[in-house]
Amino acid sequence: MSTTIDYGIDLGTTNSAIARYVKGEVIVFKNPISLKETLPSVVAFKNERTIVGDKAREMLKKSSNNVFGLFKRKMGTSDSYMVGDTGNMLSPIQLSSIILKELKNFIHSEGSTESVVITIPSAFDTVQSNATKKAGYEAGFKEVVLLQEPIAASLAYANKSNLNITDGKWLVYDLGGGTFDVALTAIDDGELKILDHEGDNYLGGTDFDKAIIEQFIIPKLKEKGTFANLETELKTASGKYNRLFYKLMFLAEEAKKELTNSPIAEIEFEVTDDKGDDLDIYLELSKEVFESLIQASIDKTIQLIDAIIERNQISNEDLKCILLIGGSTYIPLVRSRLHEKYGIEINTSLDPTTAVVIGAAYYAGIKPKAKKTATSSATTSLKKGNFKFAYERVVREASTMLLVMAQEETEGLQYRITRSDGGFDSGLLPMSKQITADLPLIPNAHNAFQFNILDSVANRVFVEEIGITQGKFSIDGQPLPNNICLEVDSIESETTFLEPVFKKNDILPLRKVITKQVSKTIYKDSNEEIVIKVFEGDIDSIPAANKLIGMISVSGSSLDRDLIKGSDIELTLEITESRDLKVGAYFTLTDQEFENTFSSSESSITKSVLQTELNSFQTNLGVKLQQLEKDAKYEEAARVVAIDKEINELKSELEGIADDQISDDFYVLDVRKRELGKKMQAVFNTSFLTKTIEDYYEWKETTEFRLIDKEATEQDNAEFKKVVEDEVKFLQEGNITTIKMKINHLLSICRRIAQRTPMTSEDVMMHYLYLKGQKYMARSKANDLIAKGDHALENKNYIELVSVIKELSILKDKEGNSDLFKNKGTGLK
Amino acid sequence: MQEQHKALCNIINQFHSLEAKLMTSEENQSLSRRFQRIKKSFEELNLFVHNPIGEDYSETRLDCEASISGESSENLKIIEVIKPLVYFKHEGDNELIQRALVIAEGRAE
Repeated sequence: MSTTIDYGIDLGTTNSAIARYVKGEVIVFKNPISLKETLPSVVAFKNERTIVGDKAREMLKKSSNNVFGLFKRKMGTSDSYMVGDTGNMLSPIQLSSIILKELKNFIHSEGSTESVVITIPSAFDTVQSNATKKAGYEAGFKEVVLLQEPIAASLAYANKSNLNITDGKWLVYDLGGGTFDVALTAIDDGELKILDHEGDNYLGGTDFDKAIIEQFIIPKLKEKGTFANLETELKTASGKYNRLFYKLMFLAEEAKKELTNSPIAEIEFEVTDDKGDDLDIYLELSKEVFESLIQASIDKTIQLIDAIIERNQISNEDLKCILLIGGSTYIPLVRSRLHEKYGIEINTSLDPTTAVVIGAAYYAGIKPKAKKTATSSATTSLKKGNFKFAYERVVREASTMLLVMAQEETEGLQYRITRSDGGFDSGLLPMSKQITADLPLIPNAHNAFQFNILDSVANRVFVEEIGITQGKFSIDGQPLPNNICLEVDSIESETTFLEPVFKKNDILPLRKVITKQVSKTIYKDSNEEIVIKVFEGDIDSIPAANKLIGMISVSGSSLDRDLIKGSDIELTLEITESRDLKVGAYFTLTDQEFENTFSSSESSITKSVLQTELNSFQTNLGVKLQQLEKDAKYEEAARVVAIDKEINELKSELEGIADDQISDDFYVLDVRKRELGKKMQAVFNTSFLTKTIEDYYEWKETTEFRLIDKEATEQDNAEFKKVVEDEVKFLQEGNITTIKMKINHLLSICRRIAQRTPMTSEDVMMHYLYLKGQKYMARSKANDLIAKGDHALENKNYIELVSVIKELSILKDKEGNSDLFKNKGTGLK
Repeated sequence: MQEQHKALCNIINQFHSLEAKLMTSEENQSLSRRFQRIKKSFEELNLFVHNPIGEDYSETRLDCEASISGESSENLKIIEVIKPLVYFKHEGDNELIQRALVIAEGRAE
């Protein structure tokens, strides 16, 4: 147990904070909900709910009867505040104690929470100081020690800088959001004390924001549009520009912050003027103009400092420095004016928003407790079994109801519900035997709530963790029985494969937008087409082995312009709970949209469809068989023959069924067809890899041969070495894409060497002359180039010849491998 | 990570303001698809952007910082969103990394 005071609290007029000194370091606790280090000193009451901090401040201007701020100014007076909704009277002490209790909620460390240092302004008299102490006791602290704010700031400064100040005087200049204070502080024989102070309770950063609006934005607005009574319409609640006023407050504050490290701040917004004209307003606020707006306010703070200096008969030289605290001291003009005027060090080493609480924590860390108290004895735990919770653990609605039943006395207790992501806080509510609460939920996520019960001095006496999943699973939502996939082209294997869109057991309804690329150029008015096929089934098998559930085909005749290879297609796939599939395709380049809805009941397997598919299987197998026999791969060839035999059997069975027969037979055969498709894929995959590895060895040998050529450079040799250095590894891994990339690299080395060799260029040109542009889509352009090359060849103009070959090569690269697929492919990749 | 999130939120805020500005015009409706795609790219970074425009607002909503305009503070609706709210999803948890900055307006019943 610590022998010194536990916590330091800055109980501010506008903001408060809590910190602790632990092993030489000060920890400023963050609000567990907003994660901010400061808590606005505002309390609101709504029905039975008590709201403290940011949310209460939001209501300040709108519900003045129920929302209370700035009550610190009334500490020690007999003034009290009436809560409009309930008629209850609250003293500034009671309101302050609510703030202190809320700050206790920030503490996440273990140990005693019974003693505290609370800071007070240097201007507080004995009555005001005693009132602050009383607020501390009402908040449940057993020991309350007071500390003047400028001393706290000075302590923070001294500890931060490791200064060993033995004597001297300095000023603590505190310019906050709404108030200004300055204190002459001195250290005499090791004792820190306040010699004098001045202040203005109505001067701060908010006034600067208002100056930007009133003196800069409003005049500019009047120049740019027609506005009658603009100020009134902005500032009154019923004014038509009242909404804009709040936006301008935000923009003005942003601009003010921007000007702390930039010469210009931009202010941009839209407004419709009285004539109905829409105005796009763009303003540049320069640092000079901003400074002219706040000059008078800053001068006023200087006058107050001068008054202190004069009253205490000291000169500028007697002051060691001016210590700056409060958020508004970030403004460069504040710093420069003070430096100009007093010519002494302007110390900005402290974080101006937490300096006071840090100083309070340092003081707490060195101040021994007056009396020893038992650790956490005030915290009494309530029995878990005495509280019953009822709620749905899985819901589809945006919010859900929580019911809590208490079987023990709840008098004087309050409860609070928070969501772990920081998006919800119920505020403090009185506990009763039975309570209900509406809990808002983050969609499609697990929502973790904490239900806390607090005693009269804000000690937590009960916690219950509540987990609710929104949208994921529900008895209403049906899981998807199979994967839903999209058929796309595989450039590597020259076939198509399935890409998952929705996975098995995803909960319906489902929607997904995916972006794919066009894998081949589709010319306007051509017969080429893009085919979007959606399958249901196994992701790891070939498309034909799965069930086609939806298809859109878009041919060149439907296009407004050519669809270039590589351009984007945005696909939207939706499946309703009743399993209707909606597929939409948007072509970015042509700005065209195509869509179709497929009902699951429309799925039809006819005899002719099955026959066509089985024939297609056999055609592919036939080509494969020829190739395997040619390559003497008899084992794989035998597998192909076996599959072909099974297809023939299936075809015979199919023949035996009448065309119009209504039975399950077609579906049974369709399942068998898909099984055969899977077997086929296994054969194709194996043989394609073998072929690719063979190609690699062939190109490796060719490149080695080329490297002997005198035209080969050191770079060519180095590149070759790099390509083949990890050959064993990539061939063993069997990744077709990697091996193809290696082949392409070897090919480019060979091409480069070839292009440097005139004789080879002649050969290449002869080859082009032989082909006559047949391999090109842009045949006429290719033939022009070939004619040019022919001419260069005749005249032995090798430079021209190389250039033409290069152009022909680039043209081919641009066109891509449009004839890549022996089968048509989908056109998607 | 915090610095990275801050930078990403700045981009998201610029994106939001661009979207809000452009989508007011009928002529720009075709851009909505692009905006959705950018949002999807944010989601790929585990950042979920939500624009709460038109939603109910109350003091229990900590995912928004509101300025309340108009005469009534009852039945509040979000009428303008200056910054959207941003969640970061990681290991199944949602972390609110930016509260929405909104203007809410009350309607007396």
